[in-house]
Amino acid sequence: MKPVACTADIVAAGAVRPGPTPVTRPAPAAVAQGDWAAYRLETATEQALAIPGRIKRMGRGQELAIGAVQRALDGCTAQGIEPPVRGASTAVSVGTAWAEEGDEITFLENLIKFGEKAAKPAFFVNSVKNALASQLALTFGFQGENQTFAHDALSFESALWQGAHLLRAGRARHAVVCGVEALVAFQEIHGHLLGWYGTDSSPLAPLVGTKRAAGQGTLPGEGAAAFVLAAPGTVASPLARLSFVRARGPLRREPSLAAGQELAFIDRALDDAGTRLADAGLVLLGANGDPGLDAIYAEVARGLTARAPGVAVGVYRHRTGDFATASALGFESAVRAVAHRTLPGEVRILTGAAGAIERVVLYHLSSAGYHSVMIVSA
Amino acid sequence: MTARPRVVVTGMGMVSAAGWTLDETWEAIAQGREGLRALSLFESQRCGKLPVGEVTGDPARRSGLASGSRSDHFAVWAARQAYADAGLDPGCFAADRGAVVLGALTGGMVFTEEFLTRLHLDQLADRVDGKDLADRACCNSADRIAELFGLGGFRTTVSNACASGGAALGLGCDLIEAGEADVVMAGGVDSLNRVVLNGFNSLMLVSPDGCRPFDAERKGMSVGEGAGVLILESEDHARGRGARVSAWLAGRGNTCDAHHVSAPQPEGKGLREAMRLALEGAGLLPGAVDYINAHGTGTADNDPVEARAICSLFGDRPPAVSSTKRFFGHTLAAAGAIEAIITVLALEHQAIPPNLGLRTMDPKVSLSLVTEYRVAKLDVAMSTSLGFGGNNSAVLFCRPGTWQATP
Repeated sequence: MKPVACTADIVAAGAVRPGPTPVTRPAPAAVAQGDWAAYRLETATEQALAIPGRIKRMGRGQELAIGAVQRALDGCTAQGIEPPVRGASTAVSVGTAWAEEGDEITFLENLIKFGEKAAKPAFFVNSVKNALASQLALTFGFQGENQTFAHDALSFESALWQGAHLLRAGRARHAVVCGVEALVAFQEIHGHLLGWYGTDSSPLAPLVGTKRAAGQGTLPGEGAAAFVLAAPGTVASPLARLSFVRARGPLRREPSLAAGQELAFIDRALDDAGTRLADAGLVLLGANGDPGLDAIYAEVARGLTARAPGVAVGVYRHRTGDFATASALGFESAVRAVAHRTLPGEVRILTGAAGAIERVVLYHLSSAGYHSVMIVSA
Repeated sequence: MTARPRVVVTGMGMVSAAGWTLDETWEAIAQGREGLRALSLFESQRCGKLPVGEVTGDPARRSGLASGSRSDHFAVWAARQAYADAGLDPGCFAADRGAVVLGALTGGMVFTEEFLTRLHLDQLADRVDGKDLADRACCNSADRIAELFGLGGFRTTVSNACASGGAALGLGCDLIEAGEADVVMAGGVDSLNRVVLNGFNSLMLVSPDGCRPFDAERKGMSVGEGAGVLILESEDHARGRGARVSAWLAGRGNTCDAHHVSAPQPEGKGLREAMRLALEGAGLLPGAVDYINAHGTGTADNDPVEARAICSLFGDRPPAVSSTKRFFGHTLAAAGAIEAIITVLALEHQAIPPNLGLRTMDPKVSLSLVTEYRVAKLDVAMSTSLGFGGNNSAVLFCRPGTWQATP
């Protein structure tokens, strides 16, 4: 049976982005000396996420997700589009690899340092990965299907597929899809110990970075992006349309990544989507400044420009840092590019020239071998 | 309009405190042999004496994996059984038409705990290694299954708290109905660890003497562990390869209460809606349901809410109901999958599992609870799950050849 096209109208989008350049903080003395750099929310952004009169403590991921969804809903209002309503007709689909791992770690550290009597229920409840999605349901009154996808770099794409499917199947009138990750100190420690992250605090320069020589790695980041989806053709003037999403995982651990395989994956996705690469106004790559991954991405970029000379190829993670669901922020950039027919400021063009953008092809590859293709169209 | 394909179950595998196989599990159920026992997996000052659904034996030996978390071993072992039960082989489907959807919450939490212990308590920061955390992610189990069985299609991990397993089955149906996959390995997994046990205990939800679902003197839940994996296919695909069909997965419903982060909506409206959606999807009326395998955790909040939901939907003729949690504890993300398998086994064996541990029915619960293993004619059966965040899930199964539904 041939797959049914996974499409949806994108009614509104909102994002909470980290500051445009990395900031440094002292590394945890127990594991390293000096400073570590990361793309973090700016203070003003953090303050803007504060919810007046809130009495319950929330995790950072919850604040990010609520902030992104609120901005998307504000976008509906600004466009004069009826926003998703409270009740069962609005579904929530969240992609987050680590959810509130910060609270989970706090819960565990309390146990380890102070004994089991120090177990704090609030941290435990927040440690459950659907704390973000359920908080969105609580905050906005969305009682439709509520799903959390926690599968590394497949998380956001899974949520996007599910959101579009619910609309297609008539199980929701609106689907609020969110990709979110909060920067957690524990994850920074993990990434630095594995050599994923560099210590150079200058901004990432994916595919053009000469400063980040082998071993320098990428930098961690955080953020959230949310999208209000509706079934195709049900909204008078959507921002853009989700035309295609496909995400797949490797069939072996520590796979040997090869540009040829990746190009074949992209070719097949475009074929199945009924789209030609030459029709893309922009190809947005998830390159993150990691030397090993950048090498693959660079070869893929060359392959794509060979297939469609002149196609504009760009990157965005020099403005987000690296995290499992950063593709949600790339997707938000793509939506704005199509909505406004112009190149968003955070996208850096590597080759070609972006004109009036009517279609964006996003391609992502992670070091674990997860890869995806998403297509946003006018 | 093309009719959506019927989804069938062609294979199942599970492990829990009730047994390592389907046969062992059903034997325990038929004999009314509870699986709760004292915790031996790790030392715990506050939780060490609590009865838990701990799986005994060496999961690594079963899974055949050289590395991985306890969850990974459980999941792979369950998947191995399901794959064999379904009579699958690599020629049965193209790699990119094989999908895996697993519900999981805690993954390799124990690795995180060991890492943090070395970092903070043992003052061995110089001996911590990032590679020690390689298997901590909850998505690892699905990846292992995909690698082992060459499932190159859609892959994801659903983390909807204790409703994850049921939601994963629903997503598996979605994939088949959308034509995204021919074969889906869907289920759930979780394993005991210090965070989960202390977490529920800190919420005062754990029973000191083992869970007694729907009992008037119930004192809480018992935490368990395990995995359940079901092979889902379209009926056409299953018939095309001559597979034995265990059951039709005729309907499912997922809802969210949007009421409280950890407590269910008191009237059970969300669960009622999930069950109604499952029936609607199957084109069946409530009266068609012969048996409900209830979530039935044994907590003060869950049981009456679930009873209200069932009574409000099924009226004054509710079907037979039992919770099987005292056989293996509350297996969290695995619960929806394990209990779905128990539900299918009930259809296959034409018998209702008993609600073990029930001594005096809670007067606030007006259900037709089954307290002894009972042979019965069962054509349609449902399994329900509830989770933190107000997540509700219901999956509805029909015995092969009995489902006459709207397309």
